[in-house]
Amino acid sequence: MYRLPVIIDVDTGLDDAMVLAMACVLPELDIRAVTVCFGNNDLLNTLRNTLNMLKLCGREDIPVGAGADRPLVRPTPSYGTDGHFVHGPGGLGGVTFPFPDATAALSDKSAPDLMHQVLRESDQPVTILCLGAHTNAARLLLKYPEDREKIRCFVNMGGLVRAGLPTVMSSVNIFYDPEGAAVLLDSGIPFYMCPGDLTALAMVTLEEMEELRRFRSPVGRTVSAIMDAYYKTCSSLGEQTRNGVTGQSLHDPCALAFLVHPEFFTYGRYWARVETQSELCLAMTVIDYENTLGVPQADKNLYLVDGIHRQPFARFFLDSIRCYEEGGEA
Amino acid sequence: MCPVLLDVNLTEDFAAGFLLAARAPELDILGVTVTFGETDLATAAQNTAELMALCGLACPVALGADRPWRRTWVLPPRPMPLGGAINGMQLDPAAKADLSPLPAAEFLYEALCAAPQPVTLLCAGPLTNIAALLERHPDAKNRIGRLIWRGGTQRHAVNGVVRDLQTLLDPEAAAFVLEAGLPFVMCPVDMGHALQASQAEVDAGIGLTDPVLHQLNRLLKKRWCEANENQPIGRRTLGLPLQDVAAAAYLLDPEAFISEPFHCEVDLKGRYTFGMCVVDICRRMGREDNILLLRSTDHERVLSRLYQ
Repeated sequence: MYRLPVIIDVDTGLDDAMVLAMACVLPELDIRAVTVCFGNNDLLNTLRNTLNMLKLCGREDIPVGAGADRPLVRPTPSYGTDGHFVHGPGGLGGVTFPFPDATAALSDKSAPDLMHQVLRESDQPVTILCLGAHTNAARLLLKYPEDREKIRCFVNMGGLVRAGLPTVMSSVNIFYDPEGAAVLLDSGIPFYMCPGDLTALAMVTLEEMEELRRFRSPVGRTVSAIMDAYYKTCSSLGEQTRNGVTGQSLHDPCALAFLVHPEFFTYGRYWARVETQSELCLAMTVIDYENTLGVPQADKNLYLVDGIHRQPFARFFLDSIRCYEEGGEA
Repeated sequence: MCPVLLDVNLTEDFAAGFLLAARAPELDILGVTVTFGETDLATAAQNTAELMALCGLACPVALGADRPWRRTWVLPPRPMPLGGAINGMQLDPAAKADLSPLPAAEFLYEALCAAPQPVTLLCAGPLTNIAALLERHPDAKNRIGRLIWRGGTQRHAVNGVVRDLQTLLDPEAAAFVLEAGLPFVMCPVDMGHALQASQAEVDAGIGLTDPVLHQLNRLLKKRWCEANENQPIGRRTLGLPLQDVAAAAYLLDPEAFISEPFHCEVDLKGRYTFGMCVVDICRRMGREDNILLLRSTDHERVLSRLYQ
């Protein structure tokens, strides 16, 4: 079976941890590296969470590159002891691992250098799944511009169609490093964006969460605990119901699902850039929905994923985690 | 009678709204001021004179800004005569307005001061004249009952991705007026998408013998055809967005609209977002509401006025 070569760039908080658990057992993927960035917490925590999650999943064979602890040009964000308002203390909502912090998979190369090595050694273009701040991939493109030929596309969780989060027009993940995101969108490399509006619909219902709760493997239990922590914060923010369905939106897993099962989704193709100069509109994903610029098709760098079939998505999520159960299979 | 002042850059995009207001018996139109906009000041003035002659509106007209408040044109104005196209309105090119010697801002101020009660401003163009008015006469603010603007956007934008035309024509003026603390009703581009006339609704005016309504029918049919002119034959089914009709209809029948207060600013710094009308629809800014944003309307109720 063909395995899609991929680098997964994470800022491991709650939903990134789910992506790692899912991706590690997917026969469709050939994970060449995992690179880590600040975002859902500071780099120390996102790196620790990433390494621990990979150990839990039995995939310490995947090299992990530590990346940026701050945006390209903006100051280092501060998380405090309470952490991110969704991902909580340490970035995993207080979920812990039954072993000392893992380090075996940590590469001596930094994230951009590890990405560069993977791209150079690959005989085919590699897809980069961007789930956090875009600093690592931006540094890769700035340091090794020739590597763009080896990047098949970016698949991203981030952006928002027009609403703002956390500020008036900014969008999730883009906000962590607007200049970094701008490097990616300026590069012309196809950018598949799963915006927050879409990923909010990538929902696992309360009933499906019950199904997850019955899993007995260490990964199944941890993912279930992560899910509970995620639901706790998101429901306290009033985000638990979308389109009449109540449950938990799985933002980063939505982008992974697009990579593996694009048939669940619909998308449109547009020209897009990131605003970096305006304070008011900082980190806005400026998307030419109405094709007012009339740019040629080849210059439309954004594939905006805008529709999802929820049920097969939820099934894909559960089936991935089920692989860790005894007798479960990929 | 509700006293009203119109401040317009009159082109085909506002003629239907203008006629709706001009013909409404419940409105007392005290005057019309003209601004540059998508079309230049001279064309806009002549369009205004011709349309007023058509509908018999006899009030003074004052000329205002021929360019943006604080800069040269962002978008150079172009001649867009209202009676120019053979399939559009046919208007008398010899029509002359009763021109006031005062510039628009002074004319507006005098009219506001002379009125015994606060006056509603219906604006369809860049807000340049209003910015000049408020800059020179800050006390004018208390004499304005409310300002209804056919402009701005919450979502749809057609100029350089995120900017709506009326904001972009004079971003600094829009920013200034939005900050002025007026009761500001925004009838955004999006409202046009919420109020679209089908071909059948446009064609309901065919055969009307009233000369004004006949010209209105011609105008709307031209605009409907333009909205569909790039559609393949057999698929010309797009509705005609009626942002202008919505703005005027709100003046006559505000209860036909669903609206919501928001905070709104204009971006003046962005590389891609300069001139963008930013409505804080997610309420992230924690700033005081300064606009009432029209969001949807009772389609039947508003369109039933169209050919009355």
